[in-house]
Amino acid sequence: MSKKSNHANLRCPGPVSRRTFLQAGAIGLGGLGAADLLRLRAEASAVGKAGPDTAVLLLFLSGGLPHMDMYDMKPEAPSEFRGEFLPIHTNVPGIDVCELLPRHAQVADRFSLIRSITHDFSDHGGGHKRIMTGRIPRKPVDFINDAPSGASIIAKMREHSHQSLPPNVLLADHNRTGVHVFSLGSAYLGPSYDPFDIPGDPSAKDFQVRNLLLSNDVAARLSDRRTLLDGLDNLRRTVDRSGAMEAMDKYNQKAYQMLTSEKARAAFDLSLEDAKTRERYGHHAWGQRTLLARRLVEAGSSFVTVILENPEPANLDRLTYNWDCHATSVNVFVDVRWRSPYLDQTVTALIEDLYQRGLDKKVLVIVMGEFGHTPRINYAVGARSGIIQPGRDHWPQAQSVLVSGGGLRMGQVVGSTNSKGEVPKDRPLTPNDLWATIYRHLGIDYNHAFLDHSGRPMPILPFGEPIGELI
Amino acid sequence: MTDIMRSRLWSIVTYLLCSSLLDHARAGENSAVDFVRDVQPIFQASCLKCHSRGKYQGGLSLESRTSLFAGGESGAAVVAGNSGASLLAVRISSDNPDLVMPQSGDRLSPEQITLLRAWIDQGAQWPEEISFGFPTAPLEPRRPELPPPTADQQVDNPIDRILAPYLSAHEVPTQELVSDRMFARRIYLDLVGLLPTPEQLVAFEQDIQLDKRARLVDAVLNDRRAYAEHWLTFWNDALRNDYRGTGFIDNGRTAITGWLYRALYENKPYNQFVHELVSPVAGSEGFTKGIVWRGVVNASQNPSMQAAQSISQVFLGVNLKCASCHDSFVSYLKLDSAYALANVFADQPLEIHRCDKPTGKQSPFAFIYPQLGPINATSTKHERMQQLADLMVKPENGRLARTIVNRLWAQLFGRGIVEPVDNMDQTPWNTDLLDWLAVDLADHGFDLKHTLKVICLSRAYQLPAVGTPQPSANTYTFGGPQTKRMSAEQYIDAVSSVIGTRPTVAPEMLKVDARGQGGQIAAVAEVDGERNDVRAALMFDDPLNRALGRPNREQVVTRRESAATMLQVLELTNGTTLDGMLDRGAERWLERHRADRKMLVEQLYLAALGRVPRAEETAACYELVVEPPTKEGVKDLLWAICMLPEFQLIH
Repeated sequence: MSKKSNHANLRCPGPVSRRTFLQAGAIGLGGLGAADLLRLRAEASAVGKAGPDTAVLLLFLSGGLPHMDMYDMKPEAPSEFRGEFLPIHTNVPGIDVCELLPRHAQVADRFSLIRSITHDFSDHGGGHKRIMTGRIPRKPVDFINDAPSGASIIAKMREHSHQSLPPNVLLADHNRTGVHVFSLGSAYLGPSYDPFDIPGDPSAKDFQVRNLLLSNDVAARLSDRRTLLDGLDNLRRTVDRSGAMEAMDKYNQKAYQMLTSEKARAAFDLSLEDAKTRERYGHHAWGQRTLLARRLVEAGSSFVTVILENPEPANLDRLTYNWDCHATSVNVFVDVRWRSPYLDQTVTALIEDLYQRGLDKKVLVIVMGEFGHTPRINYAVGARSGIIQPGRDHWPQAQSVLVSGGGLRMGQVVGSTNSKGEVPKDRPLTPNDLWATIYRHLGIDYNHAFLDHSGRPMPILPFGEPIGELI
Repeated sequence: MTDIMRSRLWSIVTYLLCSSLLDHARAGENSAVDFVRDVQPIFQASCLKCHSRGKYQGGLSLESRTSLFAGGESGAAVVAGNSGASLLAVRISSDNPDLVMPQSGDRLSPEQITLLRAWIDQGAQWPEEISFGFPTAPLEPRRPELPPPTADQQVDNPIDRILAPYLSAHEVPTQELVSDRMFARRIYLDLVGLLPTPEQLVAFEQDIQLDKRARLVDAVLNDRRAYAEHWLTFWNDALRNDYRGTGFIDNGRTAITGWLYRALYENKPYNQFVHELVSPVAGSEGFTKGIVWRGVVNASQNPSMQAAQSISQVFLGVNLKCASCHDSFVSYLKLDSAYALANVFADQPLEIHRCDKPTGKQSPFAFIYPQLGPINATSTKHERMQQLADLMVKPENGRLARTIVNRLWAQLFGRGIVEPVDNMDQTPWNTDLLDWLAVDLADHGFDLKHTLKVICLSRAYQLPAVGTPQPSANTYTFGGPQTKRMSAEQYIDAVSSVIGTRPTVAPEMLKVDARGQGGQIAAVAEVDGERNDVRAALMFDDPLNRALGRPNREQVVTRRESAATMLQVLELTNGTTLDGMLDRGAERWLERHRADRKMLVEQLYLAALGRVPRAEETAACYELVVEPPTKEGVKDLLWAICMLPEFQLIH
C-alpha cells in the first residue's frame, strides 16, 4: 500500500532520477516488475492516437461509495461486516454485485470493477481533494484544493480543441455547483478552467441551463451584434492586431458558436431525446442529469461530472442527503435500499445507451465516490430516528470503482480486498492510477507539468500508471 | 595510495601511452585553437553536464577560466602552456575506466583530445565574457556613457541616444512618431488607466506649442488621484493586497490599501516605499506578514519564507521559491541563502528544512547579497527587518533600481528590457538602457514619475505599436511598444467612461468587517477625500473582472496573463455585469441624443475611440441604430464598440 512519506517526496519533482521514477511506479503497480513498468510507460506514452473527441463521464457518489453493499460483497464475512444484502451473479461468471443492482447483473460484460482503490484521506474534504486532483492535499480537511482538479487539467489541455461546447461541465443540485463544493477548483491553472455549472434537476419542468442558452430574441440580437462588430472591425483594421487579439478572435468565434450553434443548443435540450430513452434513464435528477451529460459528451465536452447526491427529494427523517450513511444520520441499509434502484437504473441506462450509440470507445464512464465505507457496521442512535441503528462511516482504505467503455477491457474485476473488505489484497491501486488511465484515454500526457503559484513545475500526475489490466 | 598520487602516476603512464598521438598534437599546435569555435562545443557536449550549474563533480567547475584554473579536489585542472602537466589533458586520454573523462558518455575522439591539448599548450585562452554558470547580473549600479545626440533626432532624449546605435545595428527602419490622438490615448491609458475624454483630445490637438507632449505627460501624471487609482492595481497584484478573500480569517492577512494608496498619491520615493514595506511602518505590515495558511503547510510556505520570497521577487527580480526547498536547479540560489533571508522575519530562529524535512541545521541571518552588508544575529526581529531594509535600499544595490525601471518599461512597452521581469539575472536586450534608466532613477531621488516621464517622451515610446512576437521567436529585437490588451481595470473603467457612469460605492467598501475585509473606499478617502463612484481598481473582485484577468492575489503577480479565455468571451458576450452596464449606458445615450442618431453615433465614436466614424462606419451603425434610435439598437452598438479590437487594445 502506498505510504505518505513517499508522496511527500513527490510533491516537488525536481530533476527526476530513474530511481525515483521506479519508486513512483512501484507505488502504483504493486508486484509488477520494472520491465512491465517500462512497457506500460511506453504504452501510456502512445497516447497520440486518442482522438480529440474522447470524453469522460464521471458519476460521482458524493459521501462515499458503500462498496460492501454494492460492488464488493463479502457474504462470507462475519455478520458485523457483511450487511443485510446478498450478492447475485451477473452475466460474467465470477463477478457478483449486490442484489439491489439487478440491471447491473445483466450488463457486467460491459463494465469492469476495480475493487482496490485506496488512499489516506478520511475526511470528506480531504477525500474529495485526493480523489479529484491526483495529488496529496496539503490539508486533510476542507474542499478547496491546492492543486487543480483533473477536470480543470483536462479543460486546460483541451482548450485549443475545436469543440463548440465547454470542455469541463459540472451537473449538480441547486446550490451545490460551486467549484469548491466537490473540490473541482482549478488552483494554479486559474479560474478559466473551472467547470461550467449546470445546477438543478433536469427532470424538473422549469429546468433551464442558465447563462449559456440565450432566449430566442437575444440570440437574434447576438447575430445582429456580431454582424455589426465584424462590419465595423473590418472597416478599420489599422490596429496591429497580431498576437494581442488572436486568442480573443478565436474565443469570440467559439463563444459565438456555443451560444448560437444549433448543435450546442441542441446538446443542452433534453426534450430532443425520445420519450423511451428518457424513461429508460428515469424521471429523476440522477437519470435526467446523466442523460444530459451523455448529450454533452456526445456533442463535444471532454469531462462531465455528474453529482449523484439524492435522486429526488427524500424523507430526511428516514433517509439522508447523499451517500454519507453514518448511523447517526440514517440506517445504512434503509438508505442504500432506497437509493440503489435509482443508481441501478441510471448507470445501466448510460452503459446500454453508450454501447447502442457506438460511443463505448469514445466515452469512458467512471462511477466512484471520495472513499469507501467502513466495512464493520457501527451502531449508534440516529439523530432523527432516536433509535439505535446500523451505519457505515468513512473508509478511504478501500473503495470500488466501476468503469465502462473508453475502449477498455470490460467484464473483469481488477484487484480485491481482504475477506472483510477492509484493505486491498491484490493490486493495491491509488486514485492516481485511475487518473493515469483516464488521461491515457483522453490522449493527455500526464507527465506534462504546469507551474504552480510558487513557480514550481508540477506534473499533471506526480505518480501513478494506467491500470494495465484494463488496457 | 592517495587519489592525488594515483592520478599523478596515471598521468605519467598516460603520457607515455599517448606519445603515439604526439604527431597529431603537433599538427594541432601549428594552427591556433579558438575557444569558441573549437573548445566550447567539446565542453558543452561532454564536460559541462557534470562540471557546471550546481554540479561540480570532483569539486571541479568548468564554468569559467578562473574556475578551471582553480581546479578541483585533485588540484589544478590546467597548467597553461603545458598539456603534459595538465590534469584535464591526462584524464581525457586516460585508459583507466575509473579515471577517464568524461565518466559518462562517449570517450573524446583523438581529434578532440588533440584539440584540447593544443588549446592548453597555446595558453588555454578563454574570453572573459564567456561563462557556463547560471547567468548572474551585476549587483552594482553602472553609469553608461551616453552617446552624443544625432542630428536627425527630433527629440534629445537619453533613451533615444542610447538606442540609436542599437536601432541602426539591428536595421530597425526609422519611422514617424504616432499621431497626437494616438499619443494621448496611450498616455492616458498607460499612466492613469483612463480613456481621454473627447474634450481632452480636442484641446491637445489644438495645442500648437512644441512642448505639448511633455506638458500632457506632466498634466496626466499630476492628476494624483487618477494616477494612484491606476497604479494601485499594479501594486495590489505585486504586493498581493486585496479587499477580501482567502486568509482574512483568524487575523491571517492584513490589507495595506490605505498605506499603499497614500504612497502612490504622494509619489513616495521608491527607495523609501520599499524600505517601509520591508521594515513596516503603520499600515504597511500586511506585505511581509503574508498569508497565514490554515492547517499544515509545507515548510517552504511559512510566513517568514513567504516574506523572503515576496521581497526577493518583487523588489529584486529573484525567484527564491525553488531555493526555499532545496538548492535551486535553475539559478545560483542556495537553500541556505533562502533560509538566511527568511530568518530575518522569523519569530523563532528557523531550522533549515530540505524538501520539507528538517536538517538539524540552524539557519544564519543574511541578505541574499551578503556583500552589501551583514544582518546582526543578536538583533531583535524588528531590528533585523530594519537592517534588511537598509541593505535593500543601499546605493550599492543597483538591482533595486534596475528591477523597478524594468517593470515600468514592461508596463509601458508590453515587454521588459529583461525578460522574464521576475528574473533580473537574464541578459537585457540593451544593457546600457537598463543601467542608465536605473542610475537616472537613483539620481532623481527614486521618483518613479520622473522615469515614467523620461520613457514617455522618448521617440522609442512614441513609435507605432508592433504586434506581439510569436512565442516561438527566440530572439527579440526592439522595434517599438507592443500592442497590449487593456487590463481588467482599464477595460471596465473605459466602458464606464463610454456609458458615462461608474459603479457606485457599496456599503462594504466603507466599513472594515470583523475579519478585516472591505473598507477600501474609507481607507483611500483618508488620503484624498470622499468619492461617490468607484474605479475598477477599488472594486471587490467579481465574475467580470476575474474573467478579464484580475488575479486572486494570494500570490505575487507582476504581470497579468494576457491571453483571452473562453469564459472571458462568454462573460463579455453573455455576462450579466457588462450587460447591466450597457443597459444603463444605452439609456444615458438615448437621453442625450434621442432625436439625432447621427450625433449619437458620432459622439459615441469620439468617447470610445477618440475619433469620428467614417461614412461607411456610420452606415454600418445605422443598420441597428434606426431613426429614431431604440434602446436595443443603441445597446447593440455599445456592445459592438466595446468588443472592437480598436477599443480593447492599447496601440
